Amino acid sequence: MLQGTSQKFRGGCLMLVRDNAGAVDFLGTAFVVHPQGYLLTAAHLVANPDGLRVVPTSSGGEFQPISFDRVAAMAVTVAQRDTAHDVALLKIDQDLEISVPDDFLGSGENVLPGATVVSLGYSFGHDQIHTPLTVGGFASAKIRSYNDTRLILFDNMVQNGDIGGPLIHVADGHVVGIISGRFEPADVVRDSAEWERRPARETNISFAVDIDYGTALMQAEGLFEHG
Amino acid sequence: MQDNNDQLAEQPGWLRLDVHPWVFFISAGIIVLFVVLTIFFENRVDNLFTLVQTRVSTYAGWFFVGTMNVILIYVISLLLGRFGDIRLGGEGAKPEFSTLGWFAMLFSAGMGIGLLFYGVAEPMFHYVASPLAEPGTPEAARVAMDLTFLHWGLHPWAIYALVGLSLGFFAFNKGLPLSIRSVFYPLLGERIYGPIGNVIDIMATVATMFGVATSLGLGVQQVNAGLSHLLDFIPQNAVVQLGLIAAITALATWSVVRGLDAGIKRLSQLNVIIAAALMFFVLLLGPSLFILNAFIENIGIYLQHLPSLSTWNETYDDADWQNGWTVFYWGWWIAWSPFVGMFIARVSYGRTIREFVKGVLLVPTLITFMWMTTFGDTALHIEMLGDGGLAKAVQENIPVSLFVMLESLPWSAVTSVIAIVVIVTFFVTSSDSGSLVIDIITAGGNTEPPVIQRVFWAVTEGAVAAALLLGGGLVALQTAAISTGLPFAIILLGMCWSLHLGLVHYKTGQGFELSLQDYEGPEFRTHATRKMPTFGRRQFWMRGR
Repeated sequence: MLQGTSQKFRGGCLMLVRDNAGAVDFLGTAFVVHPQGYLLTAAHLVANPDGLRVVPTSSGGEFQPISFDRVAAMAVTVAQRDTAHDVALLKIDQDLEISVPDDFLGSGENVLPGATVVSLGYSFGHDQIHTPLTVGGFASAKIRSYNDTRLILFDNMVQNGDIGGPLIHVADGHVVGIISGRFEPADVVRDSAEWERRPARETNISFAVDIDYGTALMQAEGLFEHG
Repeated sequence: MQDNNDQLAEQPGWLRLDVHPWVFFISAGIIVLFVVLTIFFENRVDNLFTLVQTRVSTYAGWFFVGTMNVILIYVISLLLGRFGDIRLGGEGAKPEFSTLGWFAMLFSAGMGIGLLFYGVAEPMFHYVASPLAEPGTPEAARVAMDLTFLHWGLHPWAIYALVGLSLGFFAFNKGLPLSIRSVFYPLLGERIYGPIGNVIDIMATVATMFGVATSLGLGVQQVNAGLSHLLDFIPQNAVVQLGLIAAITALATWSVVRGLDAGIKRLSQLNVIIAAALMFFVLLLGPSLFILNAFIENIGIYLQHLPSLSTWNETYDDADWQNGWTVFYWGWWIAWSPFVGMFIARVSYGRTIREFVKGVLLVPTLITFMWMTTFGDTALHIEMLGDGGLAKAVQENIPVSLFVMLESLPWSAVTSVIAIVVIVTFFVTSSDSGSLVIDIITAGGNTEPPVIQRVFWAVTEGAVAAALLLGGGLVALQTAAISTGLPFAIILLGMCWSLHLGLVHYKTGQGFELSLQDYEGPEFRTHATRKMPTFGRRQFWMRGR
């Protein structure tokens, strides 16, 4: 079941990079959500919208070289951004024939703690492993952050490169979240105006924002209108 | 296209026409041409119909029998197979109707007038002219019920299940328009919107039209028979029947204009309640114990003989009994299937495939068996153990058989009137929902087509039924069903394959695909940044403390 889920989504999982004068800087992960070339990712990765590129790789059925010296990268622009909830909608600039499954967008609402989830992302892109990693775990909790963002905590230890990738609810085969980061309960001291953040514990819990924020952006872009 | 629709929407409702031009005008042309020719050559078409019926059923009978069995096996495989969990409308879809209401609607759509027309007549007919036993013996009675069950049992409902499931799957799960052509997407791709798709939809429209018209023709014959049986001064002839068609079509047209909720739905509900009342009347007033015994035994015989009877082709019998019965039924059900399938798809949103097949294949079959046992075995009881005389009445005049049977039970004045009411309401609901379905297909899948088109199709249906009656009565009706069913049978076989491909793709073969073979963009050297990108969580965890 996890294998099927993984195979279904890997092809839609792209490396997100920035064109840095002919070389690429690795940023994280983005995933395809619409056949017209739209992708979702985390907003904080694309705070600077210049030179954004996405790099497709194979879906992983065969052994892959650990990294590629040269990659084909397609230019993307930021179509919509919701910094409060850390979601951004990207659009591939060039015309590309893309097919997506019929039914893959879910909602964080349908995930309960204990549900099997899979996260996908280029975990170690920073270390030049240019292959997405499928990692399994369980949904751990559903919480609202201080700014009222709906978050799904799950017990994968996501790496920096996973950020912007999809969190998938295995039972439904739906994307339910956009991976946002590792949960690191920082010890914040705010006695004075100059607050201090003490070194945090490393936890094995990560969090993703509810995909509903992403679908809201797609709606704002007019992607759900009949056509 | 979108702009075009908006412009049309501003025009007054009665003048608005929203059609798929090719499908609408060619289907309408074929049907109108048929009506005109039939009326014009009234005397000569009779022979032509007989000729066509004999030819088609002689040469293509085996094909009908084979097709029906292939489809039944395929539908049962869906019930047991790995696609059972797929939900029409996607994972989160919720059923729109309660399970009981869903069953009632399935049943009222699937059979209609035929149940009343053949409920008494068919078992009687097989009893006195049995193709497989010595006529008039208990063995002949057993075979008669077995053959009736064959014609009204799992096979027709398998056809409906196939068409309903295919339409529902491709419309609700794949987002294609609600039209027969959409089912062929896995085989034809975007070509479904081109000429091939048009041909498929035209065939579906014509088949639906003649399938429904056959039913209406039977219904009107029976209403006529009932009226003249009750009221001596009304004769049984074409003139009265044409008048009845006109009157009932007017009623149907009125119901269509009133709209789906106010008209068709109310009437369907009423219809099912009255029909159920009639059945329980007969069960109570008739030979109750005999009927209950027979119900169990008939099902047992049906299940035992299903493989041999459903593949029986008269190969070694040197007879053409099947042409007028089995082959006619198979053609009729196939011709009905776009209509019933569309309706079933519409009410089955949110059901899983397993639920769907159970609900559409098994439950209505059981209810039909109950009906057929109640009416057929009451008639057999009268003939075998009672006063008799029914067999003679059936052979003389099929439509009147129901009323002759009711007459031999108590309170026949009441039950006969109820029977006529049931037939008329079945007529109206078949006609108006039939015209709605044809209208949806000819409007390119628009589920809310303009009223004037519905009126057009409702009136046309009446006209086709009238033309068929003029052109030769029952034989003409049977010919219409068989000859429009034949091309559609080929479509149904394609549908099995296409649905299978669609389901396989839906269940396993789906993924994200980017066609990068042609990609010739810039290439970049990779380069790992050591600088960590900012985590969004800072914002989440620290703000507002």
